[in-house]
Amino acid sequence: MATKPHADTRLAKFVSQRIADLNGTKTQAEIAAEAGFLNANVLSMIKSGSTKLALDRVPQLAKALECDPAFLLRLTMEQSLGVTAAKAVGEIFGSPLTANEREWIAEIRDASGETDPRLTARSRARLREIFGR
Amino acid sequence: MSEATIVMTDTGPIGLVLPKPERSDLTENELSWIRFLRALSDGSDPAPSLALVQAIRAALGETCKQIDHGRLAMMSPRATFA
Repeated sequence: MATKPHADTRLAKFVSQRIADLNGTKTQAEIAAEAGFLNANVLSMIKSGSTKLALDRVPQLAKALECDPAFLLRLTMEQSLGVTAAKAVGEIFGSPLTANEREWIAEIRDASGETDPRLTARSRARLREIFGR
Repeated sequence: MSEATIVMTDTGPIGLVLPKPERSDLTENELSWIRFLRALSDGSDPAPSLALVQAIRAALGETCKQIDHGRLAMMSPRATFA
């Protein structure tokens, strides 16, 4: 059995990145305490992928990592359920919008004059260009 | 209010209590935009940067205006186009 079964998940990479980003502002031990982990090593285990993040820890950890809780929830669901199952849950229940996504929607509404524009082939092509895809 | 459901996973069924989705006010078209942006960004949740907003506005037929200092700044559509 793999000792780090979750090492390749986006959640493990994201948590590592956020802790690195917060370096100088707060320590990993402080983040762990703020997130409610009794054992600070849990964060190291999440970062390395040897354990996964429990769904019920998302709100507190998002606060401690100063990141969007909806985004962290999405990554945690992916890690817990697998990418495909998480997509299925999202299809049925909806996936909460992040603050950035709410801004996107506001921009689209504003730019279109609230006309509820379809995502046309032209729009897709333009966005692909910008994202380099 | 939260909703609960049982979801089958590779390791068996689990119960999930999810927060109420904050998308009830989104149209199907808006959901399509969000899904496409998520796919394009590999789920990295990018903020709507100036370049990205300009691309959207260009795609939607809006215009941007170049201003001083070599910076591109978008004219506020509310102020300029309304």
